[in-house]
Amino acid sequence: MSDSADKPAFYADDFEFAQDLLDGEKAAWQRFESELKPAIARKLAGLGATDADADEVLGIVMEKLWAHKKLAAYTGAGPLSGFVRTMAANAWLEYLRKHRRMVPATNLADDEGDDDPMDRLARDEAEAPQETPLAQLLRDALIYSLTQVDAEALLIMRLSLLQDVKQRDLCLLWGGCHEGTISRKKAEALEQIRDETLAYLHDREPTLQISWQDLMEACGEGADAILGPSI
Amino acid sequence: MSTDPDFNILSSFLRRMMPDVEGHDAGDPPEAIRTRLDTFASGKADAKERASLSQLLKEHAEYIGYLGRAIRGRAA
Repeated sequence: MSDSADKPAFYADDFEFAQDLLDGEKAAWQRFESELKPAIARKLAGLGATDADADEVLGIVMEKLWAHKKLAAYTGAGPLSGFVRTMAANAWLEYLRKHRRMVPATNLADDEGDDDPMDRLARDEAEAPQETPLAQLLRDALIYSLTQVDAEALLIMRLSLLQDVKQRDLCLLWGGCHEGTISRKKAEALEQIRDETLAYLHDREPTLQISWQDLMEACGEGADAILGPSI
Repeated sequence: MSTDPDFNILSSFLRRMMPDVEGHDAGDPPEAIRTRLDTFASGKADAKERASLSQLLKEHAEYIGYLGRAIRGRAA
């Protein structure tokens, strides 16, 4: 918890950097090229993107940042590098899903039925599952993981971390157990959450190579970053 | 793995995404449940009751705020 106390509430330098980018300042652009683009590329590589995929997704991210004015919505509430890396992860997930749904042009000319291939494509698109942003997927994974966690361990964790109930009071409530027992229960609960969350993500999105650290980073960036800021 | 910061990040995330899951306080629970939670807060719940209440609170996280207040109130 001391980590969060060390972090600034407002990243003034990053905010200024973003404003300079929006103003089109040459030095800011050079810095973007040398710092943020490689950070995005590393993030995508870490998520399993090939170089070719990463190039394409980088283009999508750039379009989101400027054409869709996502950068203008950056408030400085978190580091700019985290903001763009999370946007890259979001774009990568959308890219994977879009790619999976694509109907190759050659498949449109088959002799399946007499209906118009374009009608078929439109129907396929309409029937395709709704695109779910990364945040929705993470939320679903976490919700699922919470259903799998041992109920007592989860309660101990919630009381301790969300309700500020002291460890010694928890010991009294749990039949006078040792403090080590409470600590172990909390650790076990988080391990279960981690394992079940990652298993859920792997099951739903096998191509998304997300680590626990990525997940923490994505969840910690703030709702705007992970959801993609509204415009 | 660092337990406290990680869980705080996750719970903050869930609070933003879905307030009912973490931290949303629905006020006082029904009386029958309040009585059980008060007994638990006083340290008088046996292992079976603790397990039963833990399961209840897993399904109704909105009652945890009441329990937290009851425990802190007694400890103060």
